[in-house]
Amino acid sequence: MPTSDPVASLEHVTVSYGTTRALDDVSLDIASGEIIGVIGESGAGKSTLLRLLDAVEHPSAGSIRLLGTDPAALATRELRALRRRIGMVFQGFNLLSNRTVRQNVALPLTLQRTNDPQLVDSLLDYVGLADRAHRYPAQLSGGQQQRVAIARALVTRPGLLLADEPTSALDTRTTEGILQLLADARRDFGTTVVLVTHELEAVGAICDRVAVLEQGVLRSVFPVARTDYGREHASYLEHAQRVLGA
Amino acid sequence: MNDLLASLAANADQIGIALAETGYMLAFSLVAAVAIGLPLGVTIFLTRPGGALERKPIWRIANLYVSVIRSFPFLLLVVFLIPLTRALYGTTFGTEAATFPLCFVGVAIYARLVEQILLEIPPGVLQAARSMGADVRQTVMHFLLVEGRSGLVYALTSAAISLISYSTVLGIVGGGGIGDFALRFGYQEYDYPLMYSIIAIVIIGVLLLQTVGERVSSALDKR
Repeated sequence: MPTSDPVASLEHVTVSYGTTRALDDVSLDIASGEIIGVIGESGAGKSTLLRLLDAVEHPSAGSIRLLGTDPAALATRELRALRRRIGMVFQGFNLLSNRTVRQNVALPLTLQRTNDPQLVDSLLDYVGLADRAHRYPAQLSGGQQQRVAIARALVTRPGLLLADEPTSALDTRTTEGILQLLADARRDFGTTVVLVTHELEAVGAICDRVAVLEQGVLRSVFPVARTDYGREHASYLEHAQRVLGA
Repeated sequence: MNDLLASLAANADQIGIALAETGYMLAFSLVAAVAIGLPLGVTIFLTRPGGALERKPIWRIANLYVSVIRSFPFLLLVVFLIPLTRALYGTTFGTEAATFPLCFVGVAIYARLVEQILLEIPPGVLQAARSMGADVRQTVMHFLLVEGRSGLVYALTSAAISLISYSTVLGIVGGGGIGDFALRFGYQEYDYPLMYSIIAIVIIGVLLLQTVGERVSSALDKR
């Protein structure tokens, strides 16, 4: 699958806060068009890795290239321009509650002083919320809000889409739909996706590879044997029985 | 009751003038609150330690201004500002000159309220702004003011009500206004019915203001 230069590339990256090392000598290439999972327990360095990939934090040691540039060498303005090419989806959705669904999706374009109503409409349609365009986030379910957030992240046609525990606040069935949407985004737009999660099932459902972090150290990166998320349990009862049953 | 109405009717013109003076003082100090207090509150929020645009020297100065003005007993602030008022207005007397110290208080009160409202905005909003590559101006205009708008309107209502209360003291420098009228023509003339009816008018005015503020605020709130 890797056909071109990596979208993101970390070489011996260390991030230290005082004496603690949030990331310790991490080297990782993220190939264009792949969906890579990043897993680990709390404090393993997942969030730090994500902040590096979102260019809001720089390595204490080692080097990183993001979409062909070295973020540590950029001035503030160029750094903001780089961040605009990286989409981000959050665990808590982080939508503006006083803006409609449509305004939320159009926001990244507004910030770039452009607008493209057709693109916004088509993305709303893509995430299945065309009929909710003029609603406010509080009027939507959690899953619908995350769909809006994904549409917002995709509206800039990002070279890299970062998803930070995007399904952790959602139930099983909704999770399945959100994961499918991320997989579809890769299929339809060629979006490279980094999925940070503690849910192994989510990684199994859509990721090509998975990186395992432990106490700031990248323990291993290995290919994922795909399993269809939730497919084998058609109902909530069956899911509960499968997970909890003797 | 008839005495009361007669007294109100006899003073109707002067009550009208006094209300207009209060309106003038309130309007100008509210304009100052929005034009200067709002940016000041945003500045305190952004430049605070750990803020999105941390600048400790600016934060200290802005914060100090707000704290000092707010801790000043208002009457002493009016006296304290007399030299500055004279330099700017050429006089220290009258409604216009009296509005000047009121503006200082309006700015300080509203700046502090704005800061508090912005602190209550979920951190995810700023996180989203940062990751979308928003600059400082965009972060304020497209994120903070949008998410804080209902609170900001509500706080402005609150500031307006405080300013009405502060304005009653301004009779001391000839500011006039409804509070001064009640004191001079009601209290000092032993016309207590007049004084109590003026107080009732002020209370009704404040209740109306509060209701309008609440309505607008909740209409803006889509959370």
